[in-house]
Amino acid sequence: MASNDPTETGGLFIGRRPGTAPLRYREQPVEAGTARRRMDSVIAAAILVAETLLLTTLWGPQPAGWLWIGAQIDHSTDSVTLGILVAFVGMLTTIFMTIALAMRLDRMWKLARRASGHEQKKGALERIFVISMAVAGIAFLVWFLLIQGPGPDLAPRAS
Amino acid sequence: MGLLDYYRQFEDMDEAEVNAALRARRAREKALALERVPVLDLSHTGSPDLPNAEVVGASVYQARGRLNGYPDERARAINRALAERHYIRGEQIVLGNGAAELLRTAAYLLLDQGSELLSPWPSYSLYPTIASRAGARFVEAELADGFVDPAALLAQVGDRTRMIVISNPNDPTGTYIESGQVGELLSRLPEHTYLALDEAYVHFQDIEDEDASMRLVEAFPRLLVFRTFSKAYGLSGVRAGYVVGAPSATSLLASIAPMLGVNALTQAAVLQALKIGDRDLQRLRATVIEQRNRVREAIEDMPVEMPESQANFVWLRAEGISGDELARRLEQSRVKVAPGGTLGDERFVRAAIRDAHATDRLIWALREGLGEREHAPATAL
Repeated sequence: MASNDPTETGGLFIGRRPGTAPLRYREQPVEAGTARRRMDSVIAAAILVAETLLLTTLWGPQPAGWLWIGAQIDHSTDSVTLGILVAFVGMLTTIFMTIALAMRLDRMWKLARRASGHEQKKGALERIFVISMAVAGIAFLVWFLLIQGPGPDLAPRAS
Repeated sequence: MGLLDYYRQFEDMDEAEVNAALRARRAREKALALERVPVLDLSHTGSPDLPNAEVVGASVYQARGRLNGYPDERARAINRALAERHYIRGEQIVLGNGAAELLRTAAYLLLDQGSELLSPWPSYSLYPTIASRAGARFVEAELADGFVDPAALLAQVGDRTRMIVISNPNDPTGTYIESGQVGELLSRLPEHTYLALDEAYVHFQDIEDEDASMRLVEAFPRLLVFRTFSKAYGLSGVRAGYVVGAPSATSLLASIAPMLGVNALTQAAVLQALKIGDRDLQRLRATVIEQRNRVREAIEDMPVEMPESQANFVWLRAEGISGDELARRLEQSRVKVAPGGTLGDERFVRAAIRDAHATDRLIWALREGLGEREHAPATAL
């Protein structure tokens, strides 16, 4: 049966298949008891939830919040340029800070997962990033199309 | 262990960190490998290089063929090639399983109980064994400053001397006796004495044509000339050599020939070597002559004595120390030579001539061993 696994080279290359290298610790970690490992498992799950929530804010709350702040500045200073500038600079700043924080959380999640007894080689950041983007996109479409409804040009409200 | 330390111990090493450790280990291994200078073995006179791939290929091709059949007993193709090469008739040539084996057979035929085999000494270490196996007595004639002395040989020739064997160039001294001297010696030998000329290293001499002594077989029926494919052709593993004699000595030559000939694999390799081996041989010969001259020039300002060599080795003697001691000192500099004790003169050592790098190392080792240098730099090794 033909394999469609791109890492299965059929013995063409000598050596380990990509992504199958064992974890290399500087020193062999001291193993904890079962209770501690269960607790670490819970901590890892909690970190994963926090990481997911944090990344989800990138796709709605943060842009919306900065647009609101920009609008307030525009209103109080009567300067559209200043409002847009503050909104975009602020948005980029918090996005980068969020990603940095998410990376730290992801690292903590990896360590907690390993402490709970799993051979966790990679973090979950990339996957959560993509999933949260999809969830936020779907949520936006539901809100836009079903709850709020399109603007008057697309679907004029009955007067 | 603190709380954070507990989790930090699960940090893995990233690829760069793992590779850095591997790179450091490789660098240490390379440094150690550079410090370990391999021993340069100049103690044997055979070829250090693998034979020409086409020569090996010819033998392998033969091996994959009809090995259930007997080889050509008279090795006609090789015989014809050698006859054309030496401008002699095919009946005058016999191919055998190495020159030493042919020489041994000739000694069996010519010597008997109570007869004598005469040879200059030091010379090829197998000659005394050949004499004793044939039931004869081995008689030594002294060399004159490392050179074969025809007068000393003639002085030793007696009624029982049935055979004289001369290694030319002489192993281990490397000295060469010219065809004119060989002819003169032959003309003064008694009727009952044969001369066996062992020309294993003749390709490396640059004094006269390499067949100069061989041509004497036309005039002297009691001359046998032995050649080998082990040295200049680098085929010692296939055991092949040949003997050339006078047109009137064909019955003796036929008796020397091995029963049922030489094996098919050897014949294939030798025939291919004769077809294509001349260019490699000439290149090797030029290298040996050049490097031999370099050694001779280098030792001029050293307390070292060396008879003029015409072979692919030199015979060295250092003032005030034995051959064993000189060999030991050279080995400390990672150069191995053959101590002269087992070759006939314990004052000397024999060192093979190879390429320029080997010559550099031999010269450095000599300087170091004789106290002319504190320590040879790594670049010289």
